Amino acid sequence: MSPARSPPYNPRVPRIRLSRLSRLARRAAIVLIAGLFAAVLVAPRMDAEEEWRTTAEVNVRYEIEARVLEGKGDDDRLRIGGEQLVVWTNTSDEPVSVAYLHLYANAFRNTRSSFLREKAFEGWSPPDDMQYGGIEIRRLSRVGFPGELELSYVSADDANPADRTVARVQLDPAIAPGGQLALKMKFTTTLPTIVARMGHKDDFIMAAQWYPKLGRFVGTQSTMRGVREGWYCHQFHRSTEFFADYADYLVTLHVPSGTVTGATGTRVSDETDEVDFIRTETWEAKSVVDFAWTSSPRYERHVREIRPLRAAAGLAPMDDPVRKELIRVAALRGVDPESIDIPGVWVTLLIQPEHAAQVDRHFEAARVALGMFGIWFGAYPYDRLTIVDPAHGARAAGGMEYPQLVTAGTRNAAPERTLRPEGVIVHEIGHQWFMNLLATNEAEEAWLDEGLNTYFTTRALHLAYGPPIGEHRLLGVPFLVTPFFEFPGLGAGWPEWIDLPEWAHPPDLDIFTAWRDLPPLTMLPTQRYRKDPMARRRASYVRRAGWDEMVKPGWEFVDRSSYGVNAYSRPLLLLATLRRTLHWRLGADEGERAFDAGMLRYARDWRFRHPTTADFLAAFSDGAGFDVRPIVAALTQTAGALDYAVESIKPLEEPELAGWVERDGETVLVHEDGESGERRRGRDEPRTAVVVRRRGEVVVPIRLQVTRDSGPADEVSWTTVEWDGEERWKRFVFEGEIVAARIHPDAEYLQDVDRRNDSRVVEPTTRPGVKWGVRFMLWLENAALSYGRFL
Amino acid sequence: MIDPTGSVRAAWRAVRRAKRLVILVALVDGLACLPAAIYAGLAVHRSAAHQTDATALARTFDPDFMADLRGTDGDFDATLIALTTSTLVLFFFVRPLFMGGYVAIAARGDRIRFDEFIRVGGAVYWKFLRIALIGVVTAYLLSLAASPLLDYIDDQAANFRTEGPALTYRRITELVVFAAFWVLGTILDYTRVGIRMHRRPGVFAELLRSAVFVMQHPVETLGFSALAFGIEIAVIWAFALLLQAADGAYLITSVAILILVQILVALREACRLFHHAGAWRIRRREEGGGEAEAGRADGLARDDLLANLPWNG
Repeated sequence: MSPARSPPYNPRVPRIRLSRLSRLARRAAIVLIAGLFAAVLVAPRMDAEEEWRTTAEVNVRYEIEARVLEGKGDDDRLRIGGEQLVVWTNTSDEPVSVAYLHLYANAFRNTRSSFLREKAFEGWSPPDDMQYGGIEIRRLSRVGFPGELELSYVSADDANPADRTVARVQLDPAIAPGGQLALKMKFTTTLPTIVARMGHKDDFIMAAQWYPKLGRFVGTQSTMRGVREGWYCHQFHRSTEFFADYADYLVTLHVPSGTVTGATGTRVSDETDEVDFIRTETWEAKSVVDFAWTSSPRYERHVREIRPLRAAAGLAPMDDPVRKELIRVAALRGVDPESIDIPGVWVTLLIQPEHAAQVDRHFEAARVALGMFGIWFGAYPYDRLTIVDPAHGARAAGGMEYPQLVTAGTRNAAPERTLRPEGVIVHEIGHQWFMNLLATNEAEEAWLDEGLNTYFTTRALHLAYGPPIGEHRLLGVPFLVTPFFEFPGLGAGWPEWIDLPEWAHPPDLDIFTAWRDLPPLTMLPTQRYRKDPMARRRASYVRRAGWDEMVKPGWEFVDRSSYGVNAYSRPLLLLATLRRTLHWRLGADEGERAFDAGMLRYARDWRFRHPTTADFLAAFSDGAGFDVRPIVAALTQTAGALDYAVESIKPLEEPELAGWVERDGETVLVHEDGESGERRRGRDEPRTAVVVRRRGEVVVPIRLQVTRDSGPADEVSWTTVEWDGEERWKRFVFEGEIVAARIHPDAEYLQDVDRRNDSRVVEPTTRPGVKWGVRFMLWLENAALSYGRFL
Repeated sequence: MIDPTGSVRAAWRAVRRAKRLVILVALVDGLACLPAAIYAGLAVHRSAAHQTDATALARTFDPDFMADLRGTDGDFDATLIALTTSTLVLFFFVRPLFMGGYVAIAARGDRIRFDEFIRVGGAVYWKFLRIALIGVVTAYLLSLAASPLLDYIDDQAANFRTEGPALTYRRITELVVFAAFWVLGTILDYTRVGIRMHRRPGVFAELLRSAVFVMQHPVETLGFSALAFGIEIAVIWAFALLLQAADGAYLITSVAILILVQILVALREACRLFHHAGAWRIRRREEGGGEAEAGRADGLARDDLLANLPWNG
């Protein structure tokens, strides 16, 4: 399907729109706007008057002509033959005598590349029919200069001689400041079996990181890590993504006719040669950090104009989550909701035919993402976006973001309440902001793209869909239940501690696991989180807390799991802390406004630029009017754990007065039996001591709340005190009988590695223990009988 | 002919007459599982009982709470795995006793007392334990033998262009492997019946004879086994609905669930007895027992159940 109306390429920015007004109304509006403008000038953090950047400062231009080459005879490999002209402008103030190129595809050249070697360290082994890939520059010359240039490979990160993902080119003469370098090259990219992001599965092609790409010149005086001769150009590692200059692309693709393609940018021409069965398409993309494309003859192509604030017919209803969020945010910013413009985007969905029933779900998820992120961080500035559903067996190509093109991935049976594929679609579209528009260094500061995006993805999904239902998938059947306990063994993952040779491992049999665990019987339908969507990410963090600092190069984490925690989960918890701390310090309304203003300031000031962690913190603090750097430093610059505990609640009973005491100028003997008539102090006014202990290394200010009332936590009244959290423990004494105490009342520190001790009641209940003990017994007895059925 | 061999009728009669015994067996099953369940309950209690939202933690499964319970050191999981493994081992050693009792009920076709049940079970215990051991080893070897097939199908399935056929292939393959386990289980049940019926000491020889018997009478043997299995699955399904409906956070609902669990376990035990009784009937009939009811055709007196077992002297 083709769109009925295709708008020209036109990067968009949020703009104020006035509807048709009568002359009188116009005057009134002018006065009103003038008033608002004045208010804006007065309010230091209201930045609506400042301009949003519409394009990037582009200093690279790629012109690529690429052709899909099929192997002949027994050679069933797919290749891309390309010719490329790269024009780079030296915007620095120093001459440049070398150039560095990323040859990402060489990560799949052999098992000794840094990428596959690091993947092998995780336990990965290549499949039997693995096709290795790679990229080879067959001819490289400098326009205007005779002869060919020579490449040398550089492995600065790990000194791995087998890695060829970075190449160095000597330039003579050097490029003067303001001068241009034009490199012309012929290259061949062999597409590997898809093990990560790029490659092919049969005739499905995911061409990402497929062409020689310039590194970033940051200057020889740059303090960035790993800069060589002024160029920032790291090797391709297992746990790193990308970092590149904004560029303009003009790419011509020659693909077999009959294939359906999608790519970054806009298709500006499309011709089919009926004789050679070749289809030629030209794509143009501006102000983007990368160019990716895909093709497959099996794609079903659906195109819709997605207007986030509009339903299928007319304006979205008032209870539409995107519309509700718009109204909420507009109120926070003190602007008319109409003034936050979220224009329509032509979304192309390339979906596998067997997933056709999920087309509407894909588009709705795209609407949610474009709407929510557009409201929060300024509208998506391009007019096109492509969502790719990778082929079966190519799942490793899914869940990845490229400018104007994202890969998602779904399954045949995908119950709506599990939010698959909605979760991955919203997340990858979110990267259009936290990767492309805010082009951070994904290699060394992954938290700025993955972490921030994960936080806002979680928020968007929560607002739009509510808590997802837990899923336990066996033999492709999604059981909407969660196990209390997962026992290893036959059919359920052989326990690692039983050291058997590989051949002696019994196979995993889903059907046996289903028979043993009987999911509908022993498991419970549950939500992935109870109330707090951010709490869902705690589990992974708690397991890996204390291993690594949050911000460091991706290849320097202890393992992939630690990278994942510090790139995704921990930043999400940090953002939750920032928001909740602002609520705490400034009050709920003002705190929410400050959080929104902080993020908006960052998104606006650094749109189409390359912010760092320091830039984010400065912009956020400036926008929010609250310096969050001390909190962030405490929570991210150490691998130590955060753990505060309510250790005890004890009545303070002063001992019966006995012994020698001064009274009326005389020393008298007072007996415990009260002969003297002395009353124990506090007998009628009981006091309670609550001891809070800092068990971890991280020091943060905390809140302690106590209550004298019995009842559900949400219904009793709490008394709050604050503590700087410095000492190892602190005793708080309260008048009256305290029945319960809790710290972090608004879950402001989800990083607390043990939340079980974050609250304490004087009178415990046996309900949870009995409930889950019985539930476990239900599983165990039935598992034993199921095993016994075959003996 | 709904019940051509009379096995269903005989099996049903055996189950009806052994109601109390089955409930007792379920109770013993419950006792065997109690230590692990108590540990799980205590661990949750220690972690949740003092929390301000303890009732909410009882009401719904909270993944965040579970993350804390499991913690960073994995002690909870490790202990529970150890206790679960111990319970399964205990089950393994106790089951032959009960299986012996079930076969005795099938042989008698009449009520027997619990002490008789245990004594008869004890009389064949070592034989039946050997059968269980053979079952474990055979199941393990069967799974190893199936590995190449599963790997091959996985490789083939990965090459499919769509997920649907790939899943179908995997499901069919796993079904075949599961069916092999099920046939093995059926043969083992007939071996137990054969040993008790013919009073022949050789376990391996009887296993082979039983395998041949099952293969020679696939409709009767496997058909009846499928019926017993189907009943068991239906019972499980019905209780799944019941237990989900009864889920709650209060002590009374937990007690109700505990009772339902024990009823379910008793019904599943009844299904095992049902199969043994039916198997006895089928084997007796096919091996020359005529149309008489299970247990009665062999003309054994009450005491004969406990005597004349050659391996007990």
